Amino acid sequence: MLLHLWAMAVVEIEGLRKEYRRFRHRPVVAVDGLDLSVPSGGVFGFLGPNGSGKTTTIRCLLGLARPSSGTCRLLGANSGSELPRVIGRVGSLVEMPGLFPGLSARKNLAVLGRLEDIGATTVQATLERVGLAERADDQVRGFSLGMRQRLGIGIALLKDPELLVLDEPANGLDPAGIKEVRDLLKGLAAEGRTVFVSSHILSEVQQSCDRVAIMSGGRCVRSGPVDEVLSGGRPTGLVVKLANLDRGLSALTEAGIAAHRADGFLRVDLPAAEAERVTRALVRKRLYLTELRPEEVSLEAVFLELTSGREQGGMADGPAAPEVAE
Amino acid sequence: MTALLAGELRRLLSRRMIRVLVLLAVAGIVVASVITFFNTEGVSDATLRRRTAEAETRVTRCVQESARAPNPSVSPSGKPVMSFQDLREMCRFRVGKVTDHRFELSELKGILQGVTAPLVIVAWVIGASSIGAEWQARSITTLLTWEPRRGRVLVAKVVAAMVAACAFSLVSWALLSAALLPSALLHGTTAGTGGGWLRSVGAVVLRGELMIAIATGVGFAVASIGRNTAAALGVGFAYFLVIENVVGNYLAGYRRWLILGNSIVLISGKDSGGEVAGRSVLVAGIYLSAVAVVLLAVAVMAFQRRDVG
Repeated sequence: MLLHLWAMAVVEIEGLRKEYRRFRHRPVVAVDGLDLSVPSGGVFGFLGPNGSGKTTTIRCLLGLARPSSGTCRLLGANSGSELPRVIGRVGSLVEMPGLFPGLSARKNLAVLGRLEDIGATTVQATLERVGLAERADDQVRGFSLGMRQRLGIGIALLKDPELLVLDEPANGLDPAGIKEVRDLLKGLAAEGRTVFVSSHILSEVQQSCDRVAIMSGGRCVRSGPVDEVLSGGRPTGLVVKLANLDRGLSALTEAGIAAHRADGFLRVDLPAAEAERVTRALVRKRLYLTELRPEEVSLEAVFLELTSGREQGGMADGPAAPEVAE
Repeated sequence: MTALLAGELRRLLSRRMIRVLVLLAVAGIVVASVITFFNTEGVSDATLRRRTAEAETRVTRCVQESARAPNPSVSPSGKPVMSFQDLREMCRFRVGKVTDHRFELSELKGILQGVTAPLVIVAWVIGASSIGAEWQARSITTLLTWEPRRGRVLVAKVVAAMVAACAFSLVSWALLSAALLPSALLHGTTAGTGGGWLRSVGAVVLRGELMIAIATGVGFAVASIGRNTAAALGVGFAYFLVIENVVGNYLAGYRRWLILGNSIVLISGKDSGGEVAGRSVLVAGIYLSAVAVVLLAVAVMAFQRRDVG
């Protein structure tokens, strides 16, 4: 069963280690024994602070960098030797897109498209999809950062790939552009594709990703479905607001419900599914709610909690277990 | 591979540097042909003979006047004539030579050989820049996410650079020849431009093209290893200024392995040319080609192993 699940993974990384050796300097370990598996379908967020090894991992995946040890597989093909077999099914964008400045946006796409027998119609459709149709025949040299980024995404989409590997696709985009990218990622996943995206914009990741992996110090410190990563194994809570917080707290304590007073509300240590116990306990004391909602944990808070201090102090925990497709 | 090569050519030709080089070449050819046209004149053989005869008469008159002068060792203007062998030579100097200002098309062979040197430098720059700029713009990364077989990518790039450099030089030679044609037709002669001459011009062009392909390959290889256009240009100039000078001046035995001397032998088409004794044109061509092939092999191996950012 496990083998079958692994077979469904579109990205498999096992024991990946990448060390950069520099003349007269100590070697820098960018990725340190990373294990990761990305299941087919959906949007997979790959998070981590600067220098945590995200881009290096993506480079190793795409065969742009040679791992010091370990293996990377894309759609079942080893990134080191078998990449040509699957590259036509993988679209990618690594950091800032490397474009051909002397060519127009259309020719940038057309020149690359010819390598996969992609015609002018698909090029035009891609330009429209990334919002560059009106500037299609302008030289890329005069493009803004955001427009270059859009063209980079266009290059990744041009192959109509089943797997997209995007490194910071929202870099340089304005808020409208960021929303467009978010919608695009969701749309691509809805079409049955797998999107592997690294990003710093955690709110975007939270809104668009189904699963995430958080990198720190070259290792994966947490991975799984977004909800699981957000809860992080902590008991989930409820936020309760009412006119008299002191009376509310004593009513809940009397009912055997653990709660404590926070800034302007009560935090109740109950999962959202047991919210009814709270209302019943308060009503019994003729206390009425003004607000009752599950406590929200932002990805940013989890991210900071998981990554703070690790970049300087090294890795406190071992790497997370590889995630297995359900 | 064809699609890859076509894409590389298209990208290369879209580069601003290539356009600037084309403009410079066209401007140079126009200026050279205009200067040539206005520095030549269309005279008939009879006119030239008459001018020569007139000049000879003036020389004879000068000799007679000088012989009657009180001090024949001093010219009438007071200039000493001791440096001349005799009075006739002094008078020829005073009267001046009758120069044939006609443009002879048969000289084109030498002209084409002469412009090969700057074209070789241009080829070096095209080769170096074709890969150096890709490293700088990171477009090599994008390309490798479409074609991960690095050997094919590099081969396509160097072939495209060689095709572009060879086409550039061929067009430059053709334009220059065409631009000089009015001078030859109106201010000169096409005498001596028969089949033999045509074959020798063809040989100059072929040897020049080989040299240009080699220069492109070497420039490309050095820039690929250094991942930088400037590095390749710097290495090139440092090599020619330092290594060639030191070895050429102090280690005469190694002179025949220097690139410059062998290049002169190849371009000139003369065995033992360029102060490289005993070096034949064929061996010079083979040696320079081998240098380019070895450097390109090193570049391919480095590119295969290298991390691309």
